[in-house]
Amino acid sequence: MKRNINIAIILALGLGLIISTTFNVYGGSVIGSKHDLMSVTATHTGYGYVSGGETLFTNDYGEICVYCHTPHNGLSEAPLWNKNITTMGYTPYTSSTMDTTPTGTISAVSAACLSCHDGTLAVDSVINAPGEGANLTGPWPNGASASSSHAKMAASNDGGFPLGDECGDCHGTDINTNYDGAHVPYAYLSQDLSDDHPISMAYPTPAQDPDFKTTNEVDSAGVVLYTDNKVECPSCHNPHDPDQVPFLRISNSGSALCKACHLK
Amino acid sequence: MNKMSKIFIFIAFAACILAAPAPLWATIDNTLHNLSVTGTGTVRATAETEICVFCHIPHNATPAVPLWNHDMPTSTYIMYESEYLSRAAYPLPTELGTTLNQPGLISRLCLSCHDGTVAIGALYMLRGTKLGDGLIAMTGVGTNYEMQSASSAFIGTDLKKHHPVAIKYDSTVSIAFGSAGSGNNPRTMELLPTPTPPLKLYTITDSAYVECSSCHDPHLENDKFLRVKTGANYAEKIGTTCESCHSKTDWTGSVHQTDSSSYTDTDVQSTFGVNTVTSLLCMNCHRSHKGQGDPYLLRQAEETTCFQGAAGTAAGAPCHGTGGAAGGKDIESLFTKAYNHPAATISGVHTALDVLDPLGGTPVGSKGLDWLNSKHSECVDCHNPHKVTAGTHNSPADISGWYPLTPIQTTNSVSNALKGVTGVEPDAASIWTVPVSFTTLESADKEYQICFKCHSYYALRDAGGITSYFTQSGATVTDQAMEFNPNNASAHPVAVRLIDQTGSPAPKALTPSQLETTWAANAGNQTMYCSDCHGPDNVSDPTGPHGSNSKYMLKGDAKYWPVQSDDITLWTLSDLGGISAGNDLFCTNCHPNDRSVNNVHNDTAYLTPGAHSSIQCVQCHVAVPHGAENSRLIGYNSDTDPYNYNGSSLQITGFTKASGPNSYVITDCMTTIGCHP
Repeated sequence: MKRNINIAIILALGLGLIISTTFNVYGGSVIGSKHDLMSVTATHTGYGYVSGGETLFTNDYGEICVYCHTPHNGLSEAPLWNKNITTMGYTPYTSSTMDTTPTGTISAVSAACLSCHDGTLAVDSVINAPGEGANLTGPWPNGASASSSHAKMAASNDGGFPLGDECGDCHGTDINTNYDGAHVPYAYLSQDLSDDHPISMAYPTPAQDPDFKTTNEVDSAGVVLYTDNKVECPSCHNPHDPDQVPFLRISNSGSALCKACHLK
Repeated sequence: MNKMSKIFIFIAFAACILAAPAPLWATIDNTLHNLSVTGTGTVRATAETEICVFCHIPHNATPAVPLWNHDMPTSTYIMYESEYLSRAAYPLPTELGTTLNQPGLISRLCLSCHDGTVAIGALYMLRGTKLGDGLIAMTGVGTNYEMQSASSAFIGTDLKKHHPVAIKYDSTVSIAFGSAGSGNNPRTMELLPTPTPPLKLYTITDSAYVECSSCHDPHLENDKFLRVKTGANYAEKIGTTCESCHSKTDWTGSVHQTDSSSYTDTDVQSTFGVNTVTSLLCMNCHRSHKGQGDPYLLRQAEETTCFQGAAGTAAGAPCHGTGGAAGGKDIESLFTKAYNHPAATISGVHTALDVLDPLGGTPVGSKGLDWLNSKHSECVDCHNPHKVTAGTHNSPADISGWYPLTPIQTTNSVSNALKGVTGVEPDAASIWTVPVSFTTLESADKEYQICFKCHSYYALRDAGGITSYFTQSGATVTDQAMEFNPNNASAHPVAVRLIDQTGSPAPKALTPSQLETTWAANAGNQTMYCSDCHGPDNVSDPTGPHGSNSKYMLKGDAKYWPVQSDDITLWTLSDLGGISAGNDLFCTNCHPNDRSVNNVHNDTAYLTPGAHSSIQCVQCHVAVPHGAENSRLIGYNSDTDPYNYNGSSLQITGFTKASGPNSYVITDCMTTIGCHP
């Protein structure tokens, strides 16, 4: 009896070790990360000048999740999505060595990320603001104003006048500009995705390209494929977990994330 | 189970789970392109663990394709060019592109490390941060953190020393000659219609281009990242790579493709995994990168390639250099002799396809083959190393070892050693006139057509035929196309048989009695080589007019003309037959050393016994015995030097050929001295 218990303890410890190394059960929290737009808003209060004397870059809704999600009246294409998305108008990545031809139509799950990251909508532009009942057209809580003039994740296109309608008005495009430690420029994807890893295309089968791992191996590595085995933004990124910079699902040390799919 | 074994099991279990499995399949991790801290090469990061990031980044990549992340070089490159490509009107590469869909951009990606101008750790972006001027810390790099120039992978910015890239692949371009000769007209570029996979081209609009990655896959765990993985050794992989595109005519079965001689230089074995000529194939003479002889990716400059092949010195190679290993033919030593074709002494003049551009100028600034501006003589002017097979025209040789066993009508056809070489055939000209127009031949079918590229107006550019140039032997350079013109009254049968010598009155041929055994059988009906008279001074030396210590490179058991071996005393009729000195008279190699075959030479009929005995050969015959305006190589005293030895030797003013060698009468000759009116 005692012997069996000892063995059971050893096995349990071993199992725990397996589980903890495979699944990041102690992953980071979105709270305090760059996707915590409430604290991002707080750090920008008082900087710059938008219009009409207003110094806000983004609205302070007093909540974190609302910048992306809403429990009611949101979109169904992405999980309880609280921003307008567009799936058209993107220039896809193309290359003569690709196995599948991207169409330029983005799946909703990636379009959700691009609703901020393509720089066309202000980051605080939401469908349903916090408050009682549907708050689809304003007024905005906490003195917030219409967000059409608020910060978009884009490079500056007006030389800083007004200051703050693009993140790029202050956050430069190289390491020698002020405020660049926030890494913001990296995330300006724009609608031209030809210089970005292709998305919304089906993961190649072994018959199509032997230089890719099988979908089982991809899954075991921690990368997620979506409907029709398509690669999307959240295949590699977990927008809630900031531990592996930038919001990677798994560490890319030794290029492990690249190699979850690519067999080079 | 005791406590120790429980702990042991636990530790073992934990170790198995935590141990990171090494890649079981071939991956970039095991190559020199793993620049991370786990890399196995000299050049690697000191701390950075990501591997792909040195070249790729998934967002905001520059250039966009293939998601590039390494800082790009702004270099201007010297692009590959050659006279061969220019003269073929083949589209030359212009520059390495800097934006998408320009030829050469792909190669510029590789050169972002390999041209040595950008630090290896200079990345555009790393984990969300643009590095700007920042660098990943690396070890094994140069003073500016770049690839060191001593590295075997260093390319630099002079791309003329490397296989062309950013060049259009076009197998339809061809080169037009005047005539095919024994080859093909027009000549193709000797490229396969499309490269054999795994080699690939890069298509932009309607054209396909060669880039670095046509031959190399930078992720592949293979020798030098070659795409070709099949092959017993490195040499085989390179050979297959070359032959995936290049299909040299008549290469299969040629001596450099089949010869099994071995290099004794141990570096050859250690580099290639084999050391025979037949296994090295293209690499005997070429290297794809950093050849010393550019263009054409030759290993060494000009003839040095022929001397030492793939070895570091001639002594380590079974090739054509001094002291070479078994199997080679030492030609280098011959070039050191007193009288030689100046292959080893003139350099930097020869251009490919100079036969199509004899005065040079295409491309601008290029040389041709004219004596005034472009005088030269390289191995490849007379030999085609891709087509050459073993065998000269005196294999088998006659009893002397110098001449073919049975000369016939076609004896002047090119031998195996001269196969596939360009030549010129002079257009018809009247008697003793310099032919000034020629037909270029893609492959000469007669030996003299090769020699005439330089030994005629084609290169001499003197319409008078007697030039102001001198040979090493001190003789005036003359026009051999003029001398061997079939419309002349007499000539040695180099260009045509004596019976085809249209300018010669009957009887055209000599009688068999006037020829040595080798040549007697087919008198009048045979041809000969230039190199039957001109060649090495030892019968055991490699055949051909490479170099000799005998003036004019005269070859044979007898080597002296028109003076004896003392270089002073002119040959006289009394030297024929009898005294041993007559054995050194050059003519006696092929013509009997016997005065009695010809009643002019024999001279017993005339007044004073031996009246002709003291007559020097050059008082009747032209001193350059190639051909003459008169029959039987007789010269007139109005002839000039060098045909008239020293300008004043010839005494004949009129000559009529008799019906046979013993039928001459006194009135057949008119002279300025002696008995003849």
